[in-house]
Formats: sequence, structure tokens, C-alpha cells
Amino acid sequence: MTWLLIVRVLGTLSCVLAIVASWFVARRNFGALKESPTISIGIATLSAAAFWKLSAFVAIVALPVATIATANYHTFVGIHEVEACSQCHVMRPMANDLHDPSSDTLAARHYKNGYIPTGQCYACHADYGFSGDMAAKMEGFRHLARYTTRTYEEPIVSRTRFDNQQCLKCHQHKTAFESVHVHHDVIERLTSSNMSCLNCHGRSHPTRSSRTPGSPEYQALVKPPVFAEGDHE
Amino acid sequence: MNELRWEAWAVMLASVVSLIYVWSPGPYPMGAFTFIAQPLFLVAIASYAWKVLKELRSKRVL
Repeated sequence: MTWLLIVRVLGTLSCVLAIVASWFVARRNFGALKESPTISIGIATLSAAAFWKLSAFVAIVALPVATIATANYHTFVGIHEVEACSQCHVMRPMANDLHDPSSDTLAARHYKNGYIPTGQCYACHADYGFSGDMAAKMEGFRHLARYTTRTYEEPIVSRTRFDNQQCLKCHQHKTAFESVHVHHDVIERLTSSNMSCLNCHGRSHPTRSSRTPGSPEYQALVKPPVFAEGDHE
Repeated sequence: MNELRWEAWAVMLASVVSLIYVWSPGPYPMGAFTFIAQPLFLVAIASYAWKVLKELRSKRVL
């Protein structure tokens, strides 16, 4: 929460300063600055041309770079929270199912057993974050473009094969995992994602049919999710 | 240096979009920031850099 406040304060400062500085730069006639008198700022005295060129650098380069850096906090860090994912209504079925104590999906079982205390979506879909690869970033931008232009159909379907490393990074080499003999028989196929963990462990999220508009479960699945305090990082 | 009028207006517009995104990070503000504000910032910075380079060359600094 503290980071979010810092981002908001810094982001607001850089945006407001960029707007004000750009307003003055836009009105400036740079060609006529040679005849202007010098400008005194504290202990420094600058020619008007030097002052306005420095102001232009601050307004058009420095402040926009600061704004991009702070606002991208939401793009790369804010998305770690389930609340951020479920702002897109097509993701609400996953968030509602996650919080449903009667659900037996893999995601719901992880949540109700407290296996992942915070950032539950991101824990298994970490490719989207700052450490993810370029392909995941491009896929994220594609999702954003499709959602904001409403060029998608429900139920949404994943185009990519799920990387089993997202499961194995927690489970592999743990006693519970290693004690199951069949894991040793298929470990190569699991590590290369040629075999899905879901083959034996059940579906991860609600079925496509339940997420289809008009299905009996649809309205309950797409209602705005309620978040507990512990859901936040 | 040439005028920096449209670059300054581009920065103002992009900053307004960014300000909305900073306070309300929903999918639509995120889309506007990603596909409108950031490209506007980058085009303004590139145009500014090009004008500075041209002026430095005209004054034989570079």
C-alpha cells in the first residue's frame, strides 16, 4: 500500500509539472529569445535562451521519462494483485471461483488451503510480470488491445500452452511431490510442458461452458468479486 | 532551436492520460496509457532530440 501511495504522489507530481512546464514551452517563441534579457534563478544567472532550452528539456524529456517510469508501476507491479486482474470482467469468473470455498478447481484449492497467501493469479501466471519474457509481454499487450477495443468473444480461451515451470517452481523437489512415483516417470514431459499437470490434478479454473454467456452459472461467475484484506500484497 | 509547440501539446495530452491511469488503473486507462500516452511521449522525445541534433549540427558543435 505504501508503494502505491508513493507512485500516486510521484506520478501526480511529474504529470502536473509536465503539463505546466509544457504549457509555457508551447507558448515560447524560441527564435526571439536572443533579444530577451537574462534570467536569474537563485545564485545562477542564465540567458533567456539557455533557461528556456533547459526548461524544454525538463518538460519534454525528463518529466515524461519520470511519468513513464512511475505509471508503469501499475502495468508491471500492480497486476500482481487479483483485484487488478479481475477489473477486466472476462477474468471475474476466475477471481470468483478462486474465492469460492465450495469450488474444487486447482486455483480455489490453492486459495482456500492458503498455499499462496498473496498475489494468487500472478503466482501461477508470473510470465506477465517484469521478469517474464518478451513473448509474454506481447501476449499481455494483445490481451489489453483486444479487451479495450472489445474485439473478443466469451468465453476467453488461452492461446498459449501453460508453462509447467509455474507449478514446478514450488512443487518440484518437495517431499510431497517426490514421494509420488508417477512424478518420476513423467518428470521429463512435465519439465518440457509436453504433459500438463492438469491431466491428473483437475481443471484450474471454471469450465468454458460455465463461462459462456447464457449458461446458468454465468451471472454468478461475472458478478464483481469481493476481496478480503489478506488478498492484497 | 525550432519551436516545440506540438511536442509540448503531445506531452500535455499524454500527461493527462497518465494522470488518469495513475489514479484509476483500470483496463481502459491502462489501454489509453499504453497505446496513446506512451507513444505520444516517445514521439515527442524523439522529435525534440532530432531538433536539438539539427541545431547542434547547424552550429557545427557536432
